[in-house]
Amino acid sequence: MPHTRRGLIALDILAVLGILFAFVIVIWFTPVEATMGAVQKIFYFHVSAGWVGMISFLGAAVASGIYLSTRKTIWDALAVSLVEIGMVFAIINVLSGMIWARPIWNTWWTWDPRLTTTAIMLLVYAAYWILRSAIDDNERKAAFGAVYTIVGFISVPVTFFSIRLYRTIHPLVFGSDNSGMALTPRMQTAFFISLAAFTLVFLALVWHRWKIEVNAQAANETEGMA
Amino acid sequence: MDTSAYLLAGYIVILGGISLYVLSLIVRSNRNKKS
Repeated sequence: MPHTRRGLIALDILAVLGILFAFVIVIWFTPVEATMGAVQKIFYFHVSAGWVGMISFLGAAVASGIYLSTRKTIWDALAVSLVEIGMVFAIINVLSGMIWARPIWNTWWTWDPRLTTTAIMLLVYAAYWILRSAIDDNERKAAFGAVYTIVGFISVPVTFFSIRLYRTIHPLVFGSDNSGMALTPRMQTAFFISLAAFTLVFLALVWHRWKIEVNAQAANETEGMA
Repeated sequence: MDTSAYLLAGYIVILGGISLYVLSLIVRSNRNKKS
């Protein structure tokens, strides 16, 4: 399909340009935060990676729901792709957060509600791969995986709202009654550019990963028939 | 407090992580084409 291919190439170019633009804006356009210093600039990409990871897990739950109602393997392939990409971004989110925490909290890790729920969320999605690899039959694998993805999604809103529900030292970006971070207009602009850039990268990655998974599943089925 | 070394480490993790994942997709895509 030449149109699809052209669309994918266009999305790839947009994603690369978007992320480069976001880095330029964050490095040169945003002010250096007074208390934290330069390391505060991790925030723009740390939050974007976390956001994209959570959107990915939401997409996986939706794709799984569609798979269970239609039983079309293309939706299982999408769910697999989204869980994998969600994990990549969630791990980037955790690692970048740890690097920020070292100079700011004086520790790489603490069992704060946000960090704990994020760790649980990652373990929940890590177990998804163990579950899939433990089942040989492709249909059962897809069905069990789909149910697990939907149930496992509970860990995502728990993680998202943990900083609003519990006492935590983790900063809140947008909160009611001035409880959120005090972002200057330049910081806000850079933040939204970064969110948009990460979303473009996410869409491009999902598209590629989905294609690979659909081809792999088709090859697997052909092998099974031979 | 100079925290720019941590910022650099953070950016290496973020860009490096995405790049490694893209690399893994390229490898898997090529493997698919061959089989």
